Amino acid sequence: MHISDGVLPISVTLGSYAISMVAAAWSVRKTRAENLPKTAVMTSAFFVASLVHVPLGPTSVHLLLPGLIGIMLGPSAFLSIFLGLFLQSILFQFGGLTSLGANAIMMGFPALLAGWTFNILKRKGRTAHILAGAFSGGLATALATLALALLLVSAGEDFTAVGKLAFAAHLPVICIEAIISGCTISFLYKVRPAFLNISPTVLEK
Amino acid sequence: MNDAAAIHLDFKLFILAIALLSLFYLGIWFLAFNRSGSAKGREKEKWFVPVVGLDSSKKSFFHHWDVRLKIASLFSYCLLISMISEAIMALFALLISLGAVLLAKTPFSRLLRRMTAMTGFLSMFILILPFSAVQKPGDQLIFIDPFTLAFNLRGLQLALTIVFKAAAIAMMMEPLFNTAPLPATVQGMQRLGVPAVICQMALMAHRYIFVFLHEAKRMNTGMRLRGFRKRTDMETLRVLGNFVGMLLIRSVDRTERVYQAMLARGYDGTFPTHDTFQATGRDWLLGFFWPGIALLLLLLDSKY
Amino acid sequence: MHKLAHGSTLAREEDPLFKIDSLSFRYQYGPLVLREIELSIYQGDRLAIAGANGSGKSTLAKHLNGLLNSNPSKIYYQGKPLTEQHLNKSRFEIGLLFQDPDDHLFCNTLYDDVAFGPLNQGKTREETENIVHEALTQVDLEPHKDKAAHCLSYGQKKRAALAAILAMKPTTLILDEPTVNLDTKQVSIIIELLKHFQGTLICISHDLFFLKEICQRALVLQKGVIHHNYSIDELMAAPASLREHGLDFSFRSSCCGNHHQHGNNSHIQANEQPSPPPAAVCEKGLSHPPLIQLKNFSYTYPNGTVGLDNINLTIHKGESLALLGENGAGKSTLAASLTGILSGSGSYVFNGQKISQKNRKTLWKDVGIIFQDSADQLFCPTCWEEVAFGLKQRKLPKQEIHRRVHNALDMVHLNGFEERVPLDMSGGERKRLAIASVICLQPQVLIMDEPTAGLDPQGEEMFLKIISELDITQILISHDLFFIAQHCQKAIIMDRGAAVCECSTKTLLHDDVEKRCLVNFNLNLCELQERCHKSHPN
Repeated sequence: MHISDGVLPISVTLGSYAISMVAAAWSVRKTRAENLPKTAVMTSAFFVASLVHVPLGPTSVHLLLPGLIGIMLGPSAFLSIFLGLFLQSILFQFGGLTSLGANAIMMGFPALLAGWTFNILKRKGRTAHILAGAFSGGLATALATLALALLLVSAGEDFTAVGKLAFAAHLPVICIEAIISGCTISFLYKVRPAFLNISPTVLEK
Repeated sequence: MNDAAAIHLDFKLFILAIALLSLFYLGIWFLAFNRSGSAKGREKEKWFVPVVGLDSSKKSFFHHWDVRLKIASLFSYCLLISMISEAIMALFALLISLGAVLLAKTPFSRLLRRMTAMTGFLSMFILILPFSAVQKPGDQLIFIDPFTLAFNLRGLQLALTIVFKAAAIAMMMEPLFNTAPLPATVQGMQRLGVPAVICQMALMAHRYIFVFLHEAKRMNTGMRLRGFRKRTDMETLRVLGNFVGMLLIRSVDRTERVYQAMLARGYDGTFPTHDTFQATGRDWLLGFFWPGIALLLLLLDSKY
Repeated sequence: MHKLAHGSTLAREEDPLFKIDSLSFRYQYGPLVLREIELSIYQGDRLAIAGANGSGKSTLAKHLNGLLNSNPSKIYYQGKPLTEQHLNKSRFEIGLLFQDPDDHLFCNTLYDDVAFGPLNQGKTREETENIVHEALTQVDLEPHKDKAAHCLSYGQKKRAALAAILAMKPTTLILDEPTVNLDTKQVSIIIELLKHFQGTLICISHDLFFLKEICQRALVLQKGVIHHNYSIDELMAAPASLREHGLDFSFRSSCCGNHHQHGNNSHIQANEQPSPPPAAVCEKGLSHPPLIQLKNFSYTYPNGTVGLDNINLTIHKGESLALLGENGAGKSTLAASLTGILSGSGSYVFNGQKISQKNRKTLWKDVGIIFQDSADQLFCPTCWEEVAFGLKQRKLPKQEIHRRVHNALDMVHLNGFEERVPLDMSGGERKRLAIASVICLQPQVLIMDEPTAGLDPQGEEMFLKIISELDITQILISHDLFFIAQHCQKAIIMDRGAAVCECSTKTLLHDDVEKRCLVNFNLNLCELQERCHKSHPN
């Protein structure tokens, strides 16, 4: 789920670049200096995690993990996603260099929100954490999908149907993301509870 | 719909067109995925990260070009190209980009990989836009007879414009990122005003992708050797959740050690820079050439 | 418990370089890792730090560099506490090398990595250029300076990390397990480099033979307490006390004659028992049809590197076979081919059945593998789930799963660990858990890739005991000749993808006594081959 080059009108391209630059700057300010290199290394981990393919009937989808990034990195999540998308576009051509701003907005803001909702929703106990994680993961993906649809629609009235279809096509992805986030949180809860208790993160300001 | 020019198309012709289109896609998929052989190749493909900028031979003028000017020039070319609105001009842009790739002499396989990465997203436009584009006065419509579907030629043109533009820009990534080592390119970006923090983080993230990729591959093998096969079921998702969790834990532990190693070598919050740039007149000339061409295309585009 | 002994080396006139005053330390929520450490290290000291896994060696090393300084007033460097300004200055003089070289190589080219330190020290570009050139030449990596670290082999990365630290011209060098996972050739390169190092050297290792080469003083830690502080010769001379610290290496010296046997005979005999007389096994093996048969087997990596070159190999049921060779000789590639991860050209017959593309995917049921790094095969939240993972994939009934998990954990002495988190266990326990999770699938062959790397001698001993009790065909990949001689009857030496010779492990070690003790790092591949050919002149 990335918007490639050449789709968005120039006004949206430049506007989203401006917004995501501001958000990235905010993200850098919110990250303690010593956590900047750590965030960079975590970005590579999420990059590799997003290469995991989940079979879905005859095809397969790759993970996006905006929810987990938000939960693990808190305010640093936007920066991490911005960097991750930059690397994805130059290495794989997933997304594109000109649509980097739009893609960062699409994934980054939902991630920030997921980090926030996870903190609000989590209660004592493993089940509560899993549910909070699954909800945040699902929500982040749903919002990212919605953002994708809206950005597509911004390209003109001809694109309304494409936007709707893109949203519909991603419904199973939302479910998968929610479940995977829940499972990962369950694993982390058992194995390294410190990651979740000192949340939003080890890397928090 | 009243003013739209309507053409009625035979159902057989429609099927033929669809068949040709799918053959085209199948061909691309085949080229990209089946070179390393069948299912095994596909499994490997999922754990593959191509390298950029490792090619240190200086075989074209792109390699000698001042990195700052190269980035500024090619990026503005890309932005200008993305403003084109006519399919024919987008096609010209595509050909110009292809020319740039040929001049840069970067490996063809990487270009192919870039193209295939976009197929999924772009085919959505090709398949849907002709049917979903809003019918405006002057649109040419083709009705496919047994159905009440209308194939809007303007929609097809719109989709093709997008595909050509996307391909033109994606192709330019090859001369942009594969003709100098990545650290040099990123340093160039830093000189152009991208914050140093972002640049250094991008480089570090790039370095550790390959470390974690190695770990992930090994873990994947470890799972397969104990009989794990991915299916569409809950158990698979649970195991993959563990997998992601394990990957994250290992990387958080590593962040700690890497940071300590950096501190031990005197890291104080900034990375030292040591690349020097020098732009010659030729570099500047080249620097104006690409945006110039793009502007020319845009000009023709608006007159068209 | 014996007395805490402090040797005569402590009494010195000059001011110590490092002085630690009753330092205690715990990680967040954890138990005390260091207790009341009192230590002085003098200029020019060459200090070895030994001790079992988890005895606090690495934690102590990190304090010496100020990376952990919860209590800075207790650590003095050059007479001043390691804080603030002094700490920043000191870091340029104290080099620290971690175990994993990837932690040190965080830039995208070797040049940048090595230049990082000198540039931070404020050297100019030209100076740095010279320093980097010099440092890379020293470790023999100058031609690779523009490469990224992920394009290098493990040994090269290790040397690159060392170069990055040497480039800062440290006066003190702290090394954490510098020889783990390296082959004998790479180890001897590291030894040469360290012998030429002039300053103060502090080295953590389990490899006492390695420590003996480069250090004079030894510090033995146990559960965060300094138990010994004396010369390295005194340490080597007292096997009884070593055993108490889990540092016993006598099961190694037992096979190299009388050199290091200082009256601990009963123990040595006990250790020799598990390995059955090789002749008997060979006969047993020959009466069976071969279990694994490779004919003209080759494998070439997608990038064109030859992994395996025309391998012919027969392994009988019940045999224990060792694969020897330098890093990159193709041992792991061979292991991967045997498990069916890689499919090469040539014929591979397993248990009378020719392995094709189709049944290659089910080979996992019969061939189990223990990876070098346990982290690569342990991915479940509890030990029970870890062992049950493969069984669940085989869709066995619940009761059978319970029974097998229980048996497997029992076999590796991990009963009671069912609900423990694998990630929190020690290296030795994790290795044993990995065996349990593979053995419970009842494979016919068990392949072990460098199983003892990073284990302390006590862990090694336990591991050896467990695998010698297994009634299963075993293939052992190791650099450790002693370990191989103890456990295997037959060895195959590999070089550049080819199996260059095959011989009994007894011949490998059959040489003069003096040499054998140092065999750990002084035997290179050529010598081994020579020996091999002497015994099998064909």
